Amino acid sequence: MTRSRTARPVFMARLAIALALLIGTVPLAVAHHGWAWTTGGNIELTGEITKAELGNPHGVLSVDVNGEEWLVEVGQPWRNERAGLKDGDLVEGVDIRVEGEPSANIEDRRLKAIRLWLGTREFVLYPNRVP
Amino acid sequence: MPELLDAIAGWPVAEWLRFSRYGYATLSAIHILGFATLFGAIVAHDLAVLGLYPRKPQATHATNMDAVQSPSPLLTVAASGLALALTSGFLLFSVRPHGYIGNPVFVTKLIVLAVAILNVIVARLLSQRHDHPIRWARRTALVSLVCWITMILLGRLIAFTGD
Repeated sequence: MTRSRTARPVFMARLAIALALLIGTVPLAVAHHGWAWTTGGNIELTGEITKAELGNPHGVLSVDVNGEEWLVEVGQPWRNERAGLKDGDLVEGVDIRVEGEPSANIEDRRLKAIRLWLGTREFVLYPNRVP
Repeated sequence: MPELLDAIAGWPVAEWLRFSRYGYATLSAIHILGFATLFGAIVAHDLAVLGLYPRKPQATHATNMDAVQSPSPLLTVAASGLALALTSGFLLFSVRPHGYIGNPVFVTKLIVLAVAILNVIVARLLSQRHDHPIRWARRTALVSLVCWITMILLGRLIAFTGD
């Protein structure tokens, strides 16, 4: 019986895809793109900004909350600007109050900000998500 | 290394991209156009080399050799895609170089990219060999497929890891 001429190439192609999937889906750290990683319930944090890394693809603040360091994801520059934030608003040393969704694992101390307050001024990053 | 990363981050183009809404979005789209072009063309080429396309009944051994030996227009298209992906990739990197270098997924992606490019160079050098050209061409095609599929997976993974 003649073996199919495409048997070996088909096998090799499947091997290629299997290998690629194996290498490409290595176990990851916390998945935190978009909102899928959050709890769905909001919390509020108050603290002082210790580090601000703003700019594309996403802005991140380090906030000291009662001695604990939290990572607060703020918007991309256009979103922050749309909310009314200006250059120099989110900088080291500033006191901030943030409302947003934390990571599903609360130990991560990660928050995706929906809105924030600097003093009495409110800045809404995601209007559709304000409770 | 840190000084080099600082220099790249401080580049005026990088500064502009860091805070531009549509500029950054467009750059991201260009990167996708680049690797999509590269990937589509390379998959079509590699599958041909692997002999996956059904041969016409009257085709001979020569048809298989054609895919192996004659330079395919697909490779030219793939090369253009790669050039676009590399250029836009570097620009994307310049927006937050420290963050990306600190992300193991990104660093792995650079290594896989190096392997993929090395594979092409090795293939060119090996094309001088006259024994088992089909076998070598198929090994190249297999490595190529694994590399580029992995690159796309790792590329998407970057947004889901690191800070």
